[in-house]
Amino acid sequence: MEIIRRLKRNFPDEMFIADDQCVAETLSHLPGLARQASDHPDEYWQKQHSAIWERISSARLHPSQASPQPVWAGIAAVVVLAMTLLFAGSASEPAKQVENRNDSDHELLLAVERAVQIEGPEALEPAALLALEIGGGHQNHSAEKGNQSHED
Amino acid sequence: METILTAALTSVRDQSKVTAQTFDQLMRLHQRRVYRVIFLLVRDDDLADVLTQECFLRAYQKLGSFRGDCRVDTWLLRIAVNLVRDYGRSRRNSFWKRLVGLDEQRADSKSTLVAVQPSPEATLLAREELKEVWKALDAVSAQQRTIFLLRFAEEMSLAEIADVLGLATGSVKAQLFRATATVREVLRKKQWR
Repeated sequence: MEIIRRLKRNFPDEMFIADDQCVAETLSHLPGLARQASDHPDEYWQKQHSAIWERISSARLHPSQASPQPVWAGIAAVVVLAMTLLFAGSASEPAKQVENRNDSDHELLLAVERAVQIEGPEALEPAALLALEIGGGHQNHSAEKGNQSHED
Repeated sequence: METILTAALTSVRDQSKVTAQTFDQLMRLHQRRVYRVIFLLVRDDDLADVLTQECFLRAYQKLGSFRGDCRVDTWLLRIAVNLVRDYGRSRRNSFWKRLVGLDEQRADSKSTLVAVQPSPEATLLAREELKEVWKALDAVSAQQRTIFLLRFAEEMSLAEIADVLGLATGSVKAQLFRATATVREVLRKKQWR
């Protein structure tokens, strides 16, 4: 029997001992049984065929019901945009803070420099020099100081 | 015919360019087999009818995704088996019945189907015999049942079944072994009773 030959090809021989003749017979009838049990007249298949085309036509008329992908794509796009904006906003915040802190330091140094140049105590002179160095106007300022000392 | 249709489907990437005639041929060629596989899995005429319709509707909608890496009938059976699986998952919530309006259709279609049976006695007898196998298959998992029926009722190769279910051939073989052993045991017990 074809079915036994096929089963033996795939499984160990001990599965197919003589007392399984009945099982093998049942299995060998299965394709025929399945065909007969699901058999219908031509009218039935024609009716089903027409019903399928009807459903295809109505799906064409209402594509949103048939394929929800565009809706999901829209939702996904909005979520991605919102996340991008959210993270972009929070990422730029620390940079601004650092910038502000640099500005305030710079202003403080300039203020110290001005105070020292006007009539500051001698103890603050190193701070003034540092401020000059950072400000980049070291040469100009030392020249001015030299002139001032000559005048004194 | 099968090869021509596969070539026709793979050569056309745009769904709108697949002619209605090509799809119609495809449907006529595989309609009965798709219905039979679904019927064997769900054991209900009306439900098999509705799921067959749904299967071809999905196939039409997914024509663009058919890459031609398998046969058209394998691709169709993959859709069919997935539909049956989805139906099984959502059966408790009656999701499918509401979706396809089966509750409304059921009353009408039942009487029509019974009236147009070609040989009611033969079909009834076949179904009675099939019931014994179905009963024996109740003892195995849904996946093992599917594998068993595709193998012995549809006479598909292990590789084809693996393709339809998206499993490795070895896994199909192992599950078929377990299912066959269980069915053997149930049928043998029944015979000796």
